[in-house]
Amino acid sequence: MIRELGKFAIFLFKSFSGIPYIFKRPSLFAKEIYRLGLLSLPIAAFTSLFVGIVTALQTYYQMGEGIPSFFVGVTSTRTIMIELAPVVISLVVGGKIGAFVAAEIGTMKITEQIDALKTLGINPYHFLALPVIFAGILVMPILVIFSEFISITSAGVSSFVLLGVRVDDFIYGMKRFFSEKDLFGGLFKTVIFGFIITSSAAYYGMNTGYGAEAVGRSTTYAVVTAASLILVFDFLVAFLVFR
Amino acid sequence: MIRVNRLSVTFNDKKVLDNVSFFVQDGERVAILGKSGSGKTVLLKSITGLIPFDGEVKVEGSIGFVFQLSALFDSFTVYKNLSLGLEEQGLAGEEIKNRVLSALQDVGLEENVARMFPEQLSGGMKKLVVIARVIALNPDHIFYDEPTTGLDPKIAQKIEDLIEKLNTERKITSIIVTHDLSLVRKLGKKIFFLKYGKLIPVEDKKRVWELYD
Repeated sequence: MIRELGKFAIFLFKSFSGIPYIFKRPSLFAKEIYRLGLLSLPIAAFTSLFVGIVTALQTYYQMGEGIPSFFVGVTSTRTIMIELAPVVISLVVGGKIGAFVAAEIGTMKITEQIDALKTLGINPYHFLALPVIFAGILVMPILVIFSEFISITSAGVSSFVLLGVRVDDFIYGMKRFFSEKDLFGGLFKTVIFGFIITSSAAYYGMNTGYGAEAVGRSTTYAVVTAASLILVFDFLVAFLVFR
Repeated sequence: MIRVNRLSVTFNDKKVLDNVSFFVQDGERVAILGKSGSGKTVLLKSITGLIPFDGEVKVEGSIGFVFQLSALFDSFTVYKNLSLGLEEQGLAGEEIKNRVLSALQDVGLEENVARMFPEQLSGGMKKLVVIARVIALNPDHIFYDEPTTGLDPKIAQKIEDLIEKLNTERKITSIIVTHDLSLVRKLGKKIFFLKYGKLIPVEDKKRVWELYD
């Protein structure tokens, strides 16, 4: 465990020592933003749609009769902003991104493409890992803002269609108890999650062994590690920020 | 000049290369034979600095590496594959273009190949593109890892001729690692056989068969 952490620290050092490289090859960064961010919008939208609907239904069910209906707006919005959008989207999109990055870099490793980069005088940590990590840090909060918009909209619409909660009441509840801390606390988490997802994917990809099975193993480790760390850091942020 | 002195590589307590020493002069053509898993690729990669080793390696000049699996970057066009190393050297766009197109021409590929992606190329074309990627950088030495393995005889012949041409005309030092005995007979001016981690000089090409036993 300590050995693995040490290797990970060295990996981060090797990657982040190339920060100026991002400015030398901005197209690498732009490409990762497209691949990790833009191409993740459909799955983020699909997930968010159902997150919003289920949150509205569950909120209404748990509050029961007699509670003012605008509370559906309050609770749904705050739950989505603080917890559901950041964590669910990070787990779902993170699984997609993590598997994609780890498998791609892992395949490059076993097909000698990473060695080829080195013989061309290109540092693979700067060329492959760093743009991915930076893109992950930037893209995850944007995806979560997008997800929050879809989730809250779907919660509002489903509250009206399925539960009979007036849209005005939902919006009133949403505005009445809106807190910037909820929004920014939730987004702050996603910066950490973006780093976790992409750095673990790039790390396991770069440390892939030999053969197809090794790529499968790296991909699995990347996704499982990221998912586990997302939950751990979710707890830490909840403990430090939302107490 | 390439000087290797007491080079050893160990994987999981198994010594793959054991105190290997040899010397290659500029412009020489060397063939290294050996059974599968004998450490031929490990030797080339160690000299290039891709694998950690014990011992001493001194290389004067730059090395280009033709990988066994081609190692083209799938998500880039052929042009980008060839230009990456040149961009890294800080060359200007027009010079990069000239060097890329000239390298493609040198290996006998047409200009339109530059727009293709590796998945659109045959195995032989991929190998030629890899050689073009290497020569675009004007290296002093080229290491060929199984350059003709898995190719049809015609394209294998083309690659053999290309290796010979680069060596004789441009005086590029060539180290060729291969199973292909006909390639060794044709191109190996200096031949070594790698066995049990040791590099054995082969004076008589007919003796190679005995070394496989």
